[in-house]
Amino acid sequence: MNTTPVRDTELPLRYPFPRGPLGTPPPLVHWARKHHPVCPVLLPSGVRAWMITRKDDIAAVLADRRFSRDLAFAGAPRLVGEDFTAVPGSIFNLDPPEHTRIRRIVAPYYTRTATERYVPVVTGLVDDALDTLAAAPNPADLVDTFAAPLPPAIACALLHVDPDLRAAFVDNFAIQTTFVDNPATMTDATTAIAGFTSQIIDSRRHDPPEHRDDPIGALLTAHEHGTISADELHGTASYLMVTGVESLVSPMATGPLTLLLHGNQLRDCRKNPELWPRAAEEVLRYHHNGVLGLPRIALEDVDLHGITIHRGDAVCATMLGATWDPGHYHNPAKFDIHRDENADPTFGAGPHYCIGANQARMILTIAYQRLFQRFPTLELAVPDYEIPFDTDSMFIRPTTLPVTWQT
Amino acid sequence: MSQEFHVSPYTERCARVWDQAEHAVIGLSVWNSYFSPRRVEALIGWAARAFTAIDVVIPSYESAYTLVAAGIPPLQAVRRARRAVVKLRVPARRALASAGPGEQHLHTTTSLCGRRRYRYLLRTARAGYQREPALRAACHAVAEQALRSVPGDVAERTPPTADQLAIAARYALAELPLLADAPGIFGKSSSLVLYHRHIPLADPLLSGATDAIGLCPHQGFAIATPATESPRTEGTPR
Repeated sequence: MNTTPVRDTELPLRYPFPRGPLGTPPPLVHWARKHHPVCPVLLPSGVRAWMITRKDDIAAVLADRRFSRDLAFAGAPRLVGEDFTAVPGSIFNLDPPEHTRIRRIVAPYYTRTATERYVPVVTGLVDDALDTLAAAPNPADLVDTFAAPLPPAIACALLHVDPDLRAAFVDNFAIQTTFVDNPATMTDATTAIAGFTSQIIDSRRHDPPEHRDDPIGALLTAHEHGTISADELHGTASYLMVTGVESLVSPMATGPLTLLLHGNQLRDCRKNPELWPRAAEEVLRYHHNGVLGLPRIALEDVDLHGITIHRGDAVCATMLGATWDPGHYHNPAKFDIHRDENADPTFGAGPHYCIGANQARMILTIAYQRLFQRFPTLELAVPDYEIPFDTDSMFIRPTTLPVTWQT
Repeated sequence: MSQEFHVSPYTERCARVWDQAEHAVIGLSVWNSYFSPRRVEALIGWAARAFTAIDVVIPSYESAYTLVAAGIPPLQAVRRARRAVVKLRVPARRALASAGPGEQHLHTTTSLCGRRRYRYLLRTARAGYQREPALRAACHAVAEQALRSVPGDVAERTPPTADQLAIAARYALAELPLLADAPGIFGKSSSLVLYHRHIPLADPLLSGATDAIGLCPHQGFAIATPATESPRTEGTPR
């Protein structure tokens, strides 16, 4: 693979790992997949976890009830601090059957058919963002003008959140996925998001039924009917907002960057627009979002590749390990929109398979297609080696992406 | 034989930072005949000997804003800026490699966005520019001077419009974080910014004329010129 050689491989590995070039996975992930498929890792919080990197192992662990997502208790292993894995009742932090009960309420809004319904809204918001870019000084920073503001705008529209309520809290969303120096900052951000979520829910309480046709509206109705608790309502609504925003910022930036770096494939998409979904799929495979994944916890001793994962141990599944697993992807280091394999493992596996997978694919396809149709001469305004990636974020994203185009 | 440079700190506090000689930021600028490859190599070689640590900063795509403001189409302006940056990068890399610090100490205003402190200060500078007339005026003064240096018909002529100044000022804004807190950006306890002539944008920071962006108490500024020449207070605009 075209990755830099791995040095300093003393165990446990210390996370975060140095990244590969241009938003590619840390070479340590490939090294661990090959040599230590169940690899001890020291998290920034000081907790030790097992990192699994092979696609088959990840699929098995994520579907295995002996590994729990319920970390909403004091003293649970955390990546950095008290992030959204500490929020009780959130769909992210529940195991079946509680998880299934809540997922059933919001799932109808994330099916393929439901996703189709959102296409006009998303297209309109993408075009609005492109209008802003067109009016910005050229050259422009694509992160500031497009990748960062677009996902919150889309999340607000799809979750029926008043954009005025959202504005002040975007920074707290980002802190949820940051390797902040001080865990107290993480706790403060989690508290701020909880307060913000209450405001949103309160603002929706008097909505008539016909205005509740969205995930937060459905959760509110379910709560009123006694199907879910107040914690489940607040925790899940807050999680849907955080993940609906933060998970899309990275591919909104890495996608255009990687397509610009693969001009032939970009030209293929332009010639044959049916390829745009393939481009979005390959970006999702190639970049995923983060590196390590948030911890699960073993409910009993489990043996894997000769290692005993003890009851109470934290386990992190590395989706980039799966989507770059040479056992399943031909030449995974090659960005190739024409490949046959899809990006499914990027969305996880088992009961927590990403509920927003269809939506993410739809949004990114529209965003890439509209961006490059509107700006057919778009090019990087700097050499690729100058583009800095955010080493503070657990997500892989450039901090700035200067572009220019012919006017 | 190694070239020596003469250092003239702006103020007494700058002189104290120079006495410590812990860290220097060497600013190089594009379209400036002073920065010949030989001069760049000599300057970096000398600074690597004179300071415990150095970092070299060259401008990035923001240089193109001056050309865009002068009426040059953006795509063409960016390509010209990229070519000019390469001309500085090559000798700077070579000098950093041979003088010891290594090429990881070469930065551009784009690559510096990978550093949290630089990003924070850039946001602060941009917000301050919108809010505070003193900072805006200082940036516009730099922008106007840069615009005058663009060759051709475009910039002789009439005073620049507010729109032209707003575009060209983006170059100054990218530079401001380095002038305000190089120690914070590079993780040093003090730092001296070196340039071959006076940097007007440092003045409102040193005098306290702006409070839109604070000056790190351990940041200094000095004019560094080849020891055989006297310090320059004028020259080709940056």
